[in-house]
Amino acid sequence: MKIKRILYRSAFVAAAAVLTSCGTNWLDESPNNAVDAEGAIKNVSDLINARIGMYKAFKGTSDLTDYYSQQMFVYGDVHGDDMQYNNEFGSNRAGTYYYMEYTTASSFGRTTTPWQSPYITIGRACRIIEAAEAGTMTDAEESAADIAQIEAEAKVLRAYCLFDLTRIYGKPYTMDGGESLGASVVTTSLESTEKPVRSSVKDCYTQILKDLNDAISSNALYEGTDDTGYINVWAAKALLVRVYLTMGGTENLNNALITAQDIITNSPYTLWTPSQYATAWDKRSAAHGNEMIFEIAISGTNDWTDRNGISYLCDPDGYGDVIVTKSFYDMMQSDPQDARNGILIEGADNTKAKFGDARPYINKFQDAADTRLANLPMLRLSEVYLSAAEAALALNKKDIAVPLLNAIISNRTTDATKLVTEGNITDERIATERRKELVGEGQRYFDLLRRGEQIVRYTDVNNRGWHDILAEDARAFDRNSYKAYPAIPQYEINANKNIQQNDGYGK
Amino acid sequence: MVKRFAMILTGLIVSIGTALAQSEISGTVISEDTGEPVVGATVSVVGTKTGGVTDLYGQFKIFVPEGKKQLHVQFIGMQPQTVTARQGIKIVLKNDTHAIDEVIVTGYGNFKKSSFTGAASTADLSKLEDVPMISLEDKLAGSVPGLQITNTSGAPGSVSSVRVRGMGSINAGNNPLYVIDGTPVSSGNINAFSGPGDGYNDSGTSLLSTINSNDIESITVIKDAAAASLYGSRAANGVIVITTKSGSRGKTHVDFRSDWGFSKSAVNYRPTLNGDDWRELLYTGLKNYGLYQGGMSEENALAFADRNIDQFAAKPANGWTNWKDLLYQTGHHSNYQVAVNGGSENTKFYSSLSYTNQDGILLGQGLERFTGNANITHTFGKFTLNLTTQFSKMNQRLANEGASFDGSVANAAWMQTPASVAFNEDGTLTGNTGSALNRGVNPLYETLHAYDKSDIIRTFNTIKLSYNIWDNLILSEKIAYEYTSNEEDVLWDKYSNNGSGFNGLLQRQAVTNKQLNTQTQLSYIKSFGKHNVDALVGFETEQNNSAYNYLSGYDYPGDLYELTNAGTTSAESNKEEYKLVSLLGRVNYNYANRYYAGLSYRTDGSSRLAHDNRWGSFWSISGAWRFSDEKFFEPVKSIVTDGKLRLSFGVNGTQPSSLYGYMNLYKYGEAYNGSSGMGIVGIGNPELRWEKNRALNIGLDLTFIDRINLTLDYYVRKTTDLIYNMPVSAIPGYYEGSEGYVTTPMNIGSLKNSGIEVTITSNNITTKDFTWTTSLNMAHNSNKLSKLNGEDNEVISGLLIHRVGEPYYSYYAYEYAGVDPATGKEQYFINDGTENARKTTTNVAEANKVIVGKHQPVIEGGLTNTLRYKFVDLGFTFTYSFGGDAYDYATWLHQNGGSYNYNGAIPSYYKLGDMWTGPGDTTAKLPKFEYGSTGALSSRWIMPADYVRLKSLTLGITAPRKYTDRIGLSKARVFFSASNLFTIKSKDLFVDPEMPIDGLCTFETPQLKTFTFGIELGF
Repeated sequence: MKIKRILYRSAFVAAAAVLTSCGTNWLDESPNNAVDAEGAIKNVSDLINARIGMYKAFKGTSDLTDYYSQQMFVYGDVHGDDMQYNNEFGSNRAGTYYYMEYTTASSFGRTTTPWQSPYITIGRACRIIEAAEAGTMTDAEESAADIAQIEAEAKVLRAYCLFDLTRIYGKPYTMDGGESLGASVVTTSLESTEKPVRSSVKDCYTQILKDLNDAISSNALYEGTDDTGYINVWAAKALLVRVYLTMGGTENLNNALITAQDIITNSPYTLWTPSQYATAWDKRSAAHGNEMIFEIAISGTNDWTDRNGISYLCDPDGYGDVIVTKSFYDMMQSDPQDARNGILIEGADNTKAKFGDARPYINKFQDAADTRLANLPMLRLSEVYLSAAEAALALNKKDIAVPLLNAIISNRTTDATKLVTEGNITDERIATERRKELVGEGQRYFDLLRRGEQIVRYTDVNNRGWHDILAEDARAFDRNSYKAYPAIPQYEINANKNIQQNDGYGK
Repeated sequence: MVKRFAMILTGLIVSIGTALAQSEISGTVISEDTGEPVVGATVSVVGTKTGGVTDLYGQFKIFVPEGKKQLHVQFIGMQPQTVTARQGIKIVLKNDTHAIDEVIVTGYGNFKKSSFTGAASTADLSKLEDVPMISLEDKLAGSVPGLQITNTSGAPGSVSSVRVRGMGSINAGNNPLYVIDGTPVSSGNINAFSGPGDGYNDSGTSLLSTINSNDIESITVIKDAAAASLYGSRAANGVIVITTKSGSRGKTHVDFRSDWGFSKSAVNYRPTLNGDDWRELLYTGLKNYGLYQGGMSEENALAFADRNIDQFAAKPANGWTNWKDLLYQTGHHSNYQVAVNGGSENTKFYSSLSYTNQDGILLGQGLERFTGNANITHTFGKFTLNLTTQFSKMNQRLANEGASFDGSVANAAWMQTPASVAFNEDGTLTGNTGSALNRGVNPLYETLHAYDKSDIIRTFNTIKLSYNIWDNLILSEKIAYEYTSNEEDVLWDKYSNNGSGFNGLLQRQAVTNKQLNTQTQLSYIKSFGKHNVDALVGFETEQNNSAYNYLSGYDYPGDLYELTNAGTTSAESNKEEYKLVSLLGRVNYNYANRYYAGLSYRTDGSSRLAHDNRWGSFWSISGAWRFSDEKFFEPVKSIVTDGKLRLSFGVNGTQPSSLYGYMNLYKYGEAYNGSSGMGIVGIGNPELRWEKNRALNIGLDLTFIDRINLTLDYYVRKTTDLIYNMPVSAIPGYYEGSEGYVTTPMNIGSLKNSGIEVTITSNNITTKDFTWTTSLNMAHNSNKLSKLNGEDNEVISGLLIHRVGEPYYSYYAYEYAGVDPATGKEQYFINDGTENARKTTTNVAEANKVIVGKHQPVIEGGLTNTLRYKFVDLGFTFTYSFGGDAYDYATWLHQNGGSYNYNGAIPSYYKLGDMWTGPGDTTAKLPKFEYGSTGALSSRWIMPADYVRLKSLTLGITAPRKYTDRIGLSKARVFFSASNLFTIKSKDLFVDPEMPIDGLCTFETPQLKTFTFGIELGF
């Protein structure tokens, strides 16, 4: 009996010991949808995967709506004066910067404030740049050109994001020469626990220019124009023009003009003609690629942003959150021969009571099958012309400015009397063409800030056009109002004690 | 439960009985109390191993060997008797006035409460069989001190949150471990598309709601470390041990029960202003805008209001709409159940079938469930084989509850206004109500053109073979397999608002969860004189596989929505697995049932942690002392009839909830421009360790005059290495999950819970015709974040702040300081820590946030009364909670006239009569209502969460035996029952007091007030 007992016990203990040692390996598990980051980028095909992931972050998703998937466009247009929230028929996705009812950082959430997605993009870009520069990929030599191209694209997107953040959170460079706080400059992959501070607007621009100029001078960027969904060398240069123009000042405007002229002269792009304009926005249109330098490419339900995409917010059969203002509409109507009237469309029947026969919705995010599959225009040749004209005039080079602006006018309206001469060209005229040309592309508000103009939604509460009644500080304001800049979102303040808040929003 | 224990003992004794018949004696055992036969009483011949059990009529037959005359008769709950045997003897058993000793089922052995060293409570669910609650957790409400049950939604089958002694963890999960008949099971949400608070519905689908609670014998809640540590890495939040019904030896019983009834909302949820008051308020707000923002004269301001009021509040031709009446419904329910149990000497069985159908109180909500259950035990030689199988099929219909366009709750409380219309002039439902907040979406119309249906199948099967090796040394092997699947279809047809853009969209997600548990146990229970030993060693494995297949298809040519008809389809899938390996051991010893000691140890290995941090050790020590058996206690023993002191201390843990949280991952499927790429998403934490929970419990059990039981427990639970999805800066660019929350899992600090629990049970009256038992329990828990690692001493997450030294759910907001007499705006205390702190400002940006409230109540618990007078029985349970706060987090409604107010319904607390009337009004209770105003997260929106609720009530009438016997029935009873019959709460709490776990209330389906009529028949 005694032996038996010991036997049982020892057998059990031995069995347990064996099982425990097996157990540790039995316990190894790994996910089916991801790979260990350590050594994830082994060769150029991994780097290509990471490149896709970077553009995906830039594009956003139906959950990550703070950037170009949705709010960046809303911010750039609805915060300004030419577009508004469609208060009676919209879905409340474009009201934040229209009503400007925000008072503290808590009013700025993850879905309404461009902050998280640009930084996801920057983080992914940094990892690509680090992987490329480490030179440890197994095919580093034979794929050197591809690796260099992807690295240069990463630098351009990193600059793109930092530029947007800087002009959202910082005061305009033209206002104080970059003294105010901009965004955080990130140039390496960070630990998740880091709590970065904001840099001055000036330092932000230094980094933006460095990344863009490095990418361009590397000569690694693609020069073809057949792949508009990715950054090519012309996209980098077009962005550089936008940056220089935003910074202002003689030297930067000069650089803007030189860079713009480089694109106009040397790139294969041509402006859309009046007959092409209204339908060229659809990626299936033959003329589409003529003018489109860079766009966010959407191909299907796997990479769309669904109903949260800006295209659905503009679609009168979608959410229809965003419309042009009545004053802008009337301005467009003043030249019936302007082809740009063709991108204005009417709403559903239930909106007729308010809008009558007017066509307040814009149709720049076109796709014949489903608006949600429309590509999003980011950089177009016409903006380069307009920027060049504005810079040239500011530099008092009317002889250069006039043909640049007339190139736009002649390709937009068939009314030849609209063409300008050195005698009648004005800065305001260039600005008006810019409003008409870029409406709905998220540029107007930044132009207003850059130019230091008053932002007036309506002047008479009893004659508001299509506007809702607005609080006084939202009805009219300028770049001196604290509400012209969002707060650093509360979720960032909560997690990052080092980050400095914008004025007016408390601590 | 008690009964079953008796039966098993009986079975053992009987099986030893032999037929060395000298004389056969028959007799009857009856109860003195009821005069009715005692079924299942054990009759044994003193000095022999011969015995028997009384049958359904209380009769027994027993062989009495030569020279033996004494018969011993016993039955749990009655005083045992020894009588001299004679033919035809009638033995009358008296009730045992000692309160019936609860049995504590730990899953690793059963203990009488009198010998238990830890802290645990047992709820007897048989009292609640009449109450038609789908949720198992709901049935526990009010019966166990220290158990907090909260519901995000009142939808049938929705997920509840259960906390044992406060929250011991944060992100690693706070729900206790559920154990059914000794095997840990999956619990929580099995909804394919969403969990509480997000997705297409907010209620989720509780896995536990697949269980027919009438198949449950009892539930033991293990609260301290003594017994819980044997569950190791999953026990930090307590263990809920469910014991299902099993067969008993004797005549086969058939029990049939059925009930029918209806439900309504238990509270007047978020009442809104009626049309006329609403219009008047909006009118005033426009006038105020003209006066105070537009600088208009009174006359011009009125003209301005006249001109603009109809944009917001034009009275419809058919009068104002009452959306609440349209969107809330009276839910009907019915239940049918039949259970059969019985057994022979070697084989016992229990089986049941049930059908339940219950509507929710929102249009489109409902649940239908079929369950089947079988439990068979067979003994042969030294082996005992136990087989159990539970099968459920459940169809849950869900409604959208959140702030989406077609969410009924949000539509009734906010998105629709008295001026928006549900019907066209011809009486048909309109597709456009005219509401500006949700683009005119008509939730009534949408319910006809959309659905969210879950089809859940769950089976849980176990087989256990025990081998009695020698003496009381038993080896057992158990294999349990649990399979759950949920196929959820979300349809938006081509006429619906959501689906029209797709020309119809059907999304289908099939989720499966499979769990295999093996348990090998060697146990030894033996008494050596006054020394009693109970030891156990075990080896266990757990393997869990979950998977989902997501399919979607849109563009349908007709009105038939199956993916095969769709023009465009897409799919997505993934699989995950985790494992756990464990070794455990336990020894309990007691001397003369006076001194008790226990020791347990378990080591777990988890696949969720990095190789080096994978193994964790968990242990406990415990002891108890029955001081009432000591000599010095003799003088008071007539009053304090029993007294015991208990002490336990131990460590258990929690695994991270993320399966691969320790790894840095490049995730695939990051799609752009038609290609799938990869991107860094979350940064893992390779240092991630077990969360450890140290629990100390000191308990005192006293029985006074054999009638009143008092149980008192004091505990301290300290969780260290707390795992938390720490909010991190967005700048490094990492996030969690597809929704993109900017967090990363870390071991961040410590959380401390301490508290006191008291249970008083009193047998007020115990006579033959009248019994009355009262049980009161109270619990106080104090929760405090005691340490945060790193440089911060607080973590802020939305309105919540987790600050060292404060309760976990503390509300961090501006402190409201009433109405500014000059401007009529909201004022806030500056709270800047200087001498200006108590000065006020109307500019919220100048104020500073402070902790303005906490969700944790001071005291909560339940009061249960059970009465029986002759053939009438009455039982009712109150639940209560005092001293906690809740927060109205529907911030859209807080604007004092902002755009969300103007385009939606307005809560009825916006009383025009209480509002500021003009400069210098110092008596205003409410700020000015003005178009274009803004709101702020301030203490103004704190709600008192105090309540008392009649959680359940049952009134039954049982036909006397003498009548039912004649028609061949052993039992016939009719009953009425009700749940949440009334609720006493503050009028400032305009939501249901049973609310989300953090007390942040937006739009949730309130609890159901249910009325039920039923019958119960036994054959």
